[in-house]
Amino acid sequence: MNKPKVAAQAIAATVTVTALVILALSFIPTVSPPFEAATEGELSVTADTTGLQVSTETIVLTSHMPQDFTSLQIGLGLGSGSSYFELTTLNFGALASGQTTRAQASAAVPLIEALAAVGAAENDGNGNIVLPFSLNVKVGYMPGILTESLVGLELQIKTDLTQTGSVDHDYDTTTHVIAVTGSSSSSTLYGQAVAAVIAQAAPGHSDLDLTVTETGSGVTCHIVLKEVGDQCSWSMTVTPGVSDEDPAAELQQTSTDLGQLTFVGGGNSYTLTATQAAALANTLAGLEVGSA
Amino acid sequence: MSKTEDDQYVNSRRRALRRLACGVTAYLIIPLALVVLLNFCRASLMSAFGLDDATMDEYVNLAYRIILVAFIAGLPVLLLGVAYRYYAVGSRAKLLFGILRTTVSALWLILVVTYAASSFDISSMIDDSPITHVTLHMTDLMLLIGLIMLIWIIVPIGEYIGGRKEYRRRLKERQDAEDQQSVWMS
Repeated sequence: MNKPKVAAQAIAATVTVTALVILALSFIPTVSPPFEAATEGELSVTADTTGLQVSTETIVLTSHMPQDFTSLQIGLGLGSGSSYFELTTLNFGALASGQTTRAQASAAVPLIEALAAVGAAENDGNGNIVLPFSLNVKVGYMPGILTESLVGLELQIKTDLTQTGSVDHDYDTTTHVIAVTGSSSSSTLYGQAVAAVIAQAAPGHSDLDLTVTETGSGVTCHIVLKEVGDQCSWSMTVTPGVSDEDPAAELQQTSTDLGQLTFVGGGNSYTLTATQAAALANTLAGLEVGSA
Repeated sequence: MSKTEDDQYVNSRRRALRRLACGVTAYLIIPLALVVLLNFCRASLMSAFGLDDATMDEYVNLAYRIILVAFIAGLPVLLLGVAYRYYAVGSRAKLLFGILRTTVSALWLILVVTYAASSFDISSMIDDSPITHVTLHMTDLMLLIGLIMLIWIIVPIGEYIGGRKEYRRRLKERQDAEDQQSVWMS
């Protein structure tokens, strides 16, 4: 008999079984359900020319897990799932086992960030633009030997706030297009068009640095707000159906739809049509306190 | 010493092929058979869990995908296992392939469980809730379990230490026998 091999097998088996039993015991909840999440109250939104002020609903969290949650964060964002765009995150520290916590957050969202997140906006078919806010709850569980937290759980809680303003159908996107038809190249043309849309949508942030680069599939615009520099910069790729030979002419033909503007920020891409930008501009300009 | 124990100290193709057959059966044929069986009993499962046809198809396809990914990702483990079984106890090659197999097995476990966890949509289970999206982050936990699995590296090391002396003795005997045979032939 190979005694060293048998001894090694015995040691390995003992260590594995012990470690797995300890891990398993750490995850068996003391009461069912192991984790409860609910919201109370209202989510309110106010807006002015500088941005949105958002206050979250109260989130009630109760843990029945055998170990404490090591961290609790609440994110506030637009959209949900893969199209979720986080506007702000707030930390609420730890949550002990068996305890209930009530957390509430409020955040100021610069208008340009709200504009970038408008890809998550929807139209309800009645001329109302819908901004689906979500609360993103992140908890870290079980302080680990290797890292701060071994297991993390992320929940997105949909709010009932769906209507924050209405689209003004008299808004004329053609106006912006006509204003830029005199340009000689497609890159300048679209750069100006993008700047016009942003200036209209975010009048408090019209002081922009705009760099336009032509690519194989369209035009990439890099926008930096001068007052905050690179902390608030966006790149967008415009891929309209306009030829290089006569961009102005074709742009006039498709003037009711500028094409798609794709904002890239925070590791995500968001598509914004000119109609959406116009709708957002109107929405943000006339936004009142939303109701849950 | 029995014949089986005696055979351990000689490289063996038969042992390696047996390991290959067992691996394909355990990692591919049996899991696929279980999913086929699951699909065969789909009517009773659908009524028991209140699932519709589309959801059931989604689960079955997910199971096929996970099995395929697990098998493809597990191929290096299987091949290293075959090589490990081929070599004689006490040889340096067996030690090397034993250590490699344990390390790659731990990586395989992390990969497959992480893939399975990310493929599973927990959100679909919480219809009557304000929660719209659930993500479970468990990469760090899988890393810890992978590290625990690495303790099994001591088994091929123990096997090497325990079998080295006997292996060298057998090797010398075989070499002596071959030398004698070549002397007689000449």
